[in-house]
Amino acid sequence: MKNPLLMLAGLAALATATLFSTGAFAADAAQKSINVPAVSMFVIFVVLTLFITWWAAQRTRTTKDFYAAGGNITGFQNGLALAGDYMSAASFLGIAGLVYANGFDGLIYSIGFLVGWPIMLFLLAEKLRNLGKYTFADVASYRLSQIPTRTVAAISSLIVVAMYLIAQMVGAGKLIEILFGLPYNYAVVIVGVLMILYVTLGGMLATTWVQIIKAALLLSGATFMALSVLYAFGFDFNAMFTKAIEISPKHDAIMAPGSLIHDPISAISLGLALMFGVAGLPHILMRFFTVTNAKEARKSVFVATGFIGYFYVLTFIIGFGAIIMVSTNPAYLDAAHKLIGGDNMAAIHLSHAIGGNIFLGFISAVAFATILAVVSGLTLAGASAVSHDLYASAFRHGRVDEKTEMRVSRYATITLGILAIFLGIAFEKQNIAFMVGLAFAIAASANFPILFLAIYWKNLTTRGAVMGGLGGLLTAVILVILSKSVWVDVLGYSKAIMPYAYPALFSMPVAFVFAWFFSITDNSARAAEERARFHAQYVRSETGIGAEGAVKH
Amino acid sequence: MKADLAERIASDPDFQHLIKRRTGYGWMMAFIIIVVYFTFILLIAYNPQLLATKISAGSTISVGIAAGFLIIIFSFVMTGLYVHKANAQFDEITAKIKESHE
Repeated sequence: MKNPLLMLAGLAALATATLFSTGAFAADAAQKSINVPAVSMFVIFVVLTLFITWWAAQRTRTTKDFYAAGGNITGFQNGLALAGDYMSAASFLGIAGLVYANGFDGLIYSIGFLVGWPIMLFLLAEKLRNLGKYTFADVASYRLSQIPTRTVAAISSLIVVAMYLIAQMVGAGKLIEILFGLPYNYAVVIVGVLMILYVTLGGMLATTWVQIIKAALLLSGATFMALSVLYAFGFDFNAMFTKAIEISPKHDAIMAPGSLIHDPISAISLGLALMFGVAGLPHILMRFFTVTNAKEARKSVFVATGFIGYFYVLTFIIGFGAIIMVSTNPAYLDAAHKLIGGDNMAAIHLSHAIGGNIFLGFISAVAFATILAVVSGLTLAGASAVSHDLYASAFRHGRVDEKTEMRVSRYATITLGILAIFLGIAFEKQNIAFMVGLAFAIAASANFPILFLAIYWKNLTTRGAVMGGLGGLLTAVILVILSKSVWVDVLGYSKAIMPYAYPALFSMPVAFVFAWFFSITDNSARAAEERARFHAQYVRSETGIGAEGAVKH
Repeated sequence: MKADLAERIASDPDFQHLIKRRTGYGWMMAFIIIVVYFTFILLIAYNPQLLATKISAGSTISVGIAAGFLIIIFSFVMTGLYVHKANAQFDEITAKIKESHE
């Protein structure tokens, strides 16, 4: 087992290096020159993570290893991995870019992305760990009928994963096109191939360590940038803001809410999706099954909240730093006085302004590593929805041996990876902003209500869970299609039917009301049994008696 | 878990004590976060001028930015408080319940 895997990892590293060098030729001919420090640092990251994948592959024998890293991850490690899973390139580059362009408005997103974590801790984390095994559908279907509940949970999980994956793949392609001078399609293929390798060979253990390393790199890089900006102003926030207000074309308006939020309904709707979306993201929920017990699950949310909150403070300072150090420097601007590569490149240009080509290379490599870590987590969550929920539990009624389930899981990973490559290429020209929004809206409108009611509400029945989940899912998708971002911008109609930008304010209540109505009107014998089973579930969720334990290696 | 074991644990006074304290505490903490966050969102929606005012004369820092940073710190402190309380109090009761029923 050892040698073929080692060879495979070596081959993959070689292939990456070759792809880069052939890319360099293409870049010489058509695009700007390749960034040597960035590529070298990225290759070091790839070699290191492939080595970890090889190490993890030796330790991945059972389904529990594959889905949950054997349940042996500590609370602190899992907290860091959660942060690594959650801090995507979209939050790093996107929020820094948003702060660069609009100032305060960037903070609205950061805070929304953060406040879901305390809610998860207070209401869900420990109970999730006590009830579940590998996926959140385990928890949702704990006392309900397996086939319908898991099917609905798996479908909405796969949609969330797909939206998120497309956004990350397109982001990766664009980023690498600009940073490394590599053609877009190459970049998407590299990301896809590496993520397939990490996940199929190393499962959750490799994914966890890729996320931990990436989180450490991202946090140290961003810390260095923010400290450099503050150092230039003698660590005086007031002086930094004064300078930014003076330089920015919007002047004092960057310190206050601006054009991002058009109306109160959209503001509240966005707030709901961000706050409750976190607790419905399958790749985040899945991480709670990697720790030993509820106590460690709790600790991991505390650690994650700390790192993620700290990271958002850094991105805010980085955005302001870019206003001051990047927006006035002609080297970073195009002919129209816009940032080269768009506002999302603000943090990247700032890294060059601070530390020249070497630091630019480091931050570029970190941004790429960030995307890799996030897509790996997403793919693993998607694969587990297919193999554990759809195949093993719903299709085979749990009568399947571990080897077969693992094999299906690996096939699912490879399929999802290839699909992600194609979707990434197909959606290259699309506006991807609404996809992340849609992923959060569906997570908040379909996954979160089912999970929450399954844990807390005795009277939830299978019929209620299915109707609630489907109701929330369809309402969110339909409202997004009818809103401006799809109806006008993609389909080309002149006026949007849905006047508000975000659907959660409407789709979340639909999910809850449907789940409530179709549960209380369910008088079947099955429903009565499901209600009767709540009691035992409740005791286990509160005490952890009977919960899944860790395995020893 | 077998139904009769669940029944026995549920009627354990320790269990009822744990549920009462932890559930109340969890919901209270969640409620506080929701109120703080939606107050912020509603201010952005209905009273952006308030968030635009400066925290003091001569300062360039706006109320909105100060509030934003405070919410980030507050979220972290709240999770810390919960973990501390759970480690110090809830785990002990849970361990006791497990001991007497396992």
